[in-house]
Formats: sequence, C-alpha cells, structure tokens
Amino acid sequence: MTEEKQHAYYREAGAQFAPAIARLARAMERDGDKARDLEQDIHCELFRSFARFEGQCALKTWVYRVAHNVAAEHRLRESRRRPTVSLEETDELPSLGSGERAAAEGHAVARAQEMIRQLPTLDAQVMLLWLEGESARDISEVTGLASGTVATRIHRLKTALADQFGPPDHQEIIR
Amino acid sequence: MTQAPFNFWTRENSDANFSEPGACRARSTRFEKSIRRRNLLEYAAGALVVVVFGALAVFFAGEGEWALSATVAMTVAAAIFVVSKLHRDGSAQARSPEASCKDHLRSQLVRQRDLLRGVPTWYLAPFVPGLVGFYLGVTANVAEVQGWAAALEGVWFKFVATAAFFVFVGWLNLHTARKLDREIAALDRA
Repeated sequence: MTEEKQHAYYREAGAQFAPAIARLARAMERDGDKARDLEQDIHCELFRSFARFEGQCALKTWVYRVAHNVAAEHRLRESRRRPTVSLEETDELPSLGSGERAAAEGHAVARAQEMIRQLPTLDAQVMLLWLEGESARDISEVTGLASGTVATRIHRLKTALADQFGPPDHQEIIR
Repeated sequence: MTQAPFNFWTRENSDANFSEPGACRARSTRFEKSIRRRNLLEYAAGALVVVVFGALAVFFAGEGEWALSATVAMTVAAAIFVVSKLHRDGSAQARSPEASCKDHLRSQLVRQRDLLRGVPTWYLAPFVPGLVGFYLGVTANVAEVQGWAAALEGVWFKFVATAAFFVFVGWLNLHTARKLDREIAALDRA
C-alpha cells in the first residue's frame, strides 16, 4: 500500500461518509466537545487503517466497521453502564419524554440520538446504520450479526420508531 | 445503499468533512490515551512503593531487623511484578478496528473481563506475603517487650481492616468481571 493510495482512500471515504460519521459521533456522545473529539478519533483511525486496506471488503463496509468500532471503544471507555433495553427484549423502546411526534426536526434528531444512547452497543449500531439507509445485508456485513437477526431488529426498530416519529418517509424493502 | 427511512436524520451534518491527514499522524485515540494514562498512574504508584519500601528495607537491614527488611523487600518485589504484568497485559492491544462490530466488541470485553478476573491473583495476592510477614514481624517485636496479648490487641484491628480492604477490592473486580461475562454472553446470543 503506497501512501498515495492511503490518502486517496481517505479522501474518497471523506467525500462519501463524513456526514454519516459526524452523525454517528453525535449520536454516541451527548457532550458536544467529546463528540467532536470522537469524530476526529474516527477520522484518524480511518486514515491509519487505510494503510492496511487492500480491498478485502467494500470501502463502505471498511469505513463503517472502523467508525463504529472506535465509537464502541469510546462507549466502553466512558463506562456508561447504565441499564440498556435491547431491541430483542422489548416491544417498546425506553420513553424519550413526550410521546407526541416532534414538530421540529432538531427535536426529532435529539430524540433519535437519545434512543441510540439507551440501546446496547450492537443494537445502537444497527439503528444508526439503518437510519443511514443501509440494507439489512450491508448492516449484517458491518456488524457481524446474522442477516435474520438484523432483519428482526430492523422490524422492531420500524415499529418503535413509527410510534416515536410517525411512519418512515420511505418504506424500505428489507433485503 | 437503500433510501434512508427518515430524512430528518440524513439531513443532519450534511456539510461535514474529514480532518486533514496531517492532523492524524501523531494522534492517539482517546481510548488508547486513557489506557496509557491509567498505566502511567500505576507505574507512578509502583515507583513510589519501590522507593518508599526500598528505603524502609535498607533502614530495617541497617537496624539489624532482617525479618522486617525481608518482608518489606517482598512488597517491593510485588510492586515490580504487578507493574510489569500491567505493562505486558494491560497496554492497548494491537488494534484491528476493521473487524466486524460484534467480533471487535467481544474481544474488547473479553480482554477487560480477563484482566479484572485476574485481579485477586496478579494484583492483590503478590502483596499478601509481604504484608502478612510485616504484621507478624512487628507483632513479634512488640510481643518481646509487652507480651503477645498486648501485641495482638494493638495489631488485630489494623490487620482485619487491611484484609477487609483486600477482600473488597477483589470482590469489586470480580463483580465487574461477572457483569462483563453477562454482556459477552448476550453478544454470543446475538
């Protein structure tokens, strides 16, 4: 791997995934300064990782795996071991306060982020990837969960999020 | 990519960019930095134990108190063992952040669990011979002058308090390790 290639992969990843990684960092970390720090940690880990990238998987899979794993380490380090509610264990996600549909988009984003913080790490990763519009197959490849498990979790997410935010803007077909 | 289910989500941070690669060259992640910070604190504490107890060992040897000197030297040896163990097993592991999320999370949890589970044996136990020997030596010295009853009366509470502290630290670490075990089991079921 030449340094030129490493930079090229990094630029390409930045062009495609910088917004998704910013959203991931802000969803995993409530504190603004720490979220920006986490975002930069992910950028740097990605840059270093591209020295090892030989096309073993799709660029998207690589980027999401590195990003989500750095975020998971951040969660572990922060030791936020407050009780979590798994998507598999419940039909109803933890209450986020008001049950009404958010009128302001900022409020809806904040509530979605809070929901992500209340989920166990793997469920949070599934939810984030689904919100980004990734297919069940791609989510399975990134997380290492079986496709069936991902499909089940997405189904539960859809139900829970429809209750919280109304029906999705787009009825995705789970592949 | 399929279409995102909620546009309010994907509209956020749409103007975000990556950091310049130059800013990344020397930067460690917060996770790695926190592990290094923790290890440095442990090294500093270990160095303090070595210096203070090493000086005590020399002092007791100078006074002809060979038994006490040996027990204090055991504590120095224990501190050196613990710090070297921490350096070998507790430093940031070789990173493979491109592994699947499930595998990566599991390896992090297993590593933490194993380290915590071993605390009674690799962190606490090495200090026990030196501490017990020290209490015995001091008690024997007092007993020579005041008798065993008075000597034991003066030492039993301190000894029990030290033992209770060790038991508590061991229990706390094993309790956290058991919680991590449950998290690992949940991951394996996923």
